[in-house]
Amino acid sequence: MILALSLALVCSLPVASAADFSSPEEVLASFKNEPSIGEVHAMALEYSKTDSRYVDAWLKASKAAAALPRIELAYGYKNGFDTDYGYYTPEEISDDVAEDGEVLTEDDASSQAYGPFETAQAVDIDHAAIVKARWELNKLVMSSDQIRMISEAQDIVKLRDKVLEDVTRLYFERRRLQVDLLLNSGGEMKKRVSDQLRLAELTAQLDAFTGGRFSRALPNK
Amino acid sequence: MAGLLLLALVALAQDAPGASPPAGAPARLVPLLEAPFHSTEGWVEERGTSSFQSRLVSMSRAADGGAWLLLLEDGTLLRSLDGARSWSRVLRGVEAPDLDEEHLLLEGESYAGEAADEAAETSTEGFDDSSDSEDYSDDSQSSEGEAAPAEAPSEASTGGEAAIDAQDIDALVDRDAALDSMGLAVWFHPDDPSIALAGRGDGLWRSVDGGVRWALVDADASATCFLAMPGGVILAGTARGLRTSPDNGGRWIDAVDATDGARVYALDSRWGRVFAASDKGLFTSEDALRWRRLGAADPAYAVLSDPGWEGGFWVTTGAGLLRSDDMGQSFLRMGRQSMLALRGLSALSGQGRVLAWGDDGVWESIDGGVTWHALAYGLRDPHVRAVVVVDGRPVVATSTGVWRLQPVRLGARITPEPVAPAVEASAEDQLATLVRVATTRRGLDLETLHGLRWRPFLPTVQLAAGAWQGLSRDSAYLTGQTDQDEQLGWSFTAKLCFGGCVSLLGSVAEVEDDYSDYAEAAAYDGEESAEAREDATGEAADDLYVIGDEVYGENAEPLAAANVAQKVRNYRFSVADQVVSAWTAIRRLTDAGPPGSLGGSVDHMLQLAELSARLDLYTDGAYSRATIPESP
Repeated sequence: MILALSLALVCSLPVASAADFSSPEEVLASFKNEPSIGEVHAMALEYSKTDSRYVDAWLKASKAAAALPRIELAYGYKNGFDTDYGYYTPEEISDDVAEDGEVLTEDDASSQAYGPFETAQAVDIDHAAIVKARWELNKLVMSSDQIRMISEAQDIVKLRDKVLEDVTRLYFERRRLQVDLLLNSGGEMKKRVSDQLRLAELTAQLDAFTGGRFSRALPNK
Repeated sequence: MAGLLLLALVALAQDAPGASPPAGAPARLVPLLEAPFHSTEGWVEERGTSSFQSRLVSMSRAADGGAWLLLLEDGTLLRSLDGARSWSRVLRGVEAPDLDEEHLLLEGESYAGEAADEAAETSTEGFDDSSDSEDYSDDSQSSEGEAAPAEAPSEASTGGEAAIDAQDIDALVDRDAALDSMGLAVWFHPDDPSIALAGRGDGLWRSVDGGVRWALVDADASATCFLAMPGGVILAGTARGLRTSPDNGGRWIDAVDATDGARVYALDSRWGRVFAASDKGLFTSEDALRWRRLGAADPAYAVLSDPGWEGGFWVTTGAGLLRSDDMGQSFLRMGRQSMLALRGLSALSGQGRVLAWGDDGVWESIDGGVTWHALAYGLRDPHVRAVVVVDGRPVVATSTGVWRLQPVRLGARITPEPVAPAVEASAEDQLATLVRVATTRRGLDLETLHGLRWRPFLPTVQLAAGAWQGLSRDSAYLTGQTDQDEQLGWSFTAKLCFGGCVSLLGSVAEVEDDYSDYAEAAAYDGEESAEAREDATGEAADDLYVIGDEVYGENAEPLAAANVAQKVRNYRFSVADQVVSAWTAIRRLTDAGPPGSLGGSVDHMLQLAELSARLDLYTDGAYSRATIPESP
């Protein structure tokens, strides 16, 4: 399988030698159809989502969040029902009844108390609604969220720099290998195959950083 | 030296307001690619200013740009209303006493001898009448220490006519000996152009009408520099320490502090600190009352804080120009030249642009003081006494005239600067720009953290609105009476809270208190309060956050911000190092040129392209945008 791949790569090499080129610009022009380093950087940024516009958006969002209030809504409902009971001595009953005009003799009301009697009833129904809004304006200028975001943004920048450093290194290592293959096409087969494998490896590594975009942008793909 | 260059470049790239490029916008290379003064401009003398009757000493310009003041060596004050082109006298010079000094000394000794004899006679007359001799003795000491002017004798000098005369003579002699010039410094208040101060040999003069009329406000001070402080306080550096005025120069107080006895040459303030350069070293204070020395006690002649780097400032000393980046804890020697005759420092607009001036003319640095170029073209008098920066351009007063910078006519040749920089000035500009762009990219700029200082001044705002409706019906069976009560109401509350307002909204009950009837619903209240407590506990847990290896809680933002800033700064140094390395490698490759072979030439181009790509990745493409793009 590897041998087949290597042979296929070797067969795909442009057939040229140093004598075919009169200037370094001509040599490098052989790869003009391949994506430039700037384009590969853009691919890597797009794939890794470490573009500065993401950082911008996060920083703005962390700041804008403080402009929105914290809203609290509360609703309360109360349905209360009260019943009062009472115990009455015969004297109180006699007095009460007498006030109502009914006739009861004291003999009817013995010395024991009567009751309980349901004396009163109350119904209490309440509705309440509360809306609260809270702005912490001091967080517009600085908040823990923003500080965390700044810290995260710095980590993103670090990651971006590392990704792009690796991409740059791989890109130019690959390009040097391409130039070497181009200018020294008549070398030993084993070395050529080895170089082609290294070329494929570098291409795959660039694909890993760009989500395959690099290979898709190559002219023969 | 490379490390120093790196430090300076990072200093240039620090987070001064406006230093970072706008997000998403192409990096601005144009400002730093502007040619420095030394390559495009030369000095032109203002006509007529060279005919002053005395040498120029100091010059100042009102903040509103209307008036200029010029102080001559004999104390004459001149005022200009046309941008320092024509001058009119507003205060006469100090008239030198038309006395023969030797004669004066002999006369003084004679008076002193007579006074001593008189005092001796008085003392022999009896101890009960010895007050005169005591007064005389005290006055003599006072006159030596305070150098009171002859025209303003101390009230304490009531010991007799002979004593007064002796004091006057002492004062005159002392003044003449201590001061080289009658004119010392003139100054406009930066916030109030109507207030101007002038330090002369005969005391401190003040004007409250923009320098038209002057009054002597302090005969005991010979001020050499001034500094406006908040609240109408003005500091004056004198030949014997600092004096303070609490009312914009009306009254002056000499507080006892560490600067007493030091001749103060320059004052500056930033970051809540005041710096005083004196012949006894550089002093600093946070309250302008308690001073402590920074560094050694070697004389410091000028101090200038760096607005682009907190804790950074330059100091001119007898050993040359020094810089500190850590509020004076350590100092680095700046510049490759031995600039030993510096008198002052002035900041120009733009990061890292500084002027140093003195008896060797004017020097310009565009990289924070790492390299200096002489602004020598056209300046016939190198004895620079004052520099006023107008719209980012310097106007200097030398001992003989006033000079301005003007673009040199086409074809005029400017003498190359005497320095031998490792890189060309324009190349340094480019490197400085690249470092700045790389270290102030989104995510590395610390401008956002500056908002922390305003945080205590912004409140927490709480708005709460509540509405309630209640119906209650009570029936008494025994009496057959029924009462019904209906309630309908609303409430609105607004609260502002400054500072630590952690529990402003701890409970719904705060609003409910406003309508007490509803608040009596005990069960509802109790549930809400419990929920609120649970919420508060949850919020406190939510407020904990981790940055790096540290856990921070609520109100720990300043500490967290400081640690984040430190982390960012460390990475900035790393980035600056990468940029400088790549840029230097490009320069080296470019200077070396491609080798003769085709393969070598291709490799040379690829190396350049790779280094350019590395610079681009750290500068968001600014390097390629500033140069002709060459894709491999």
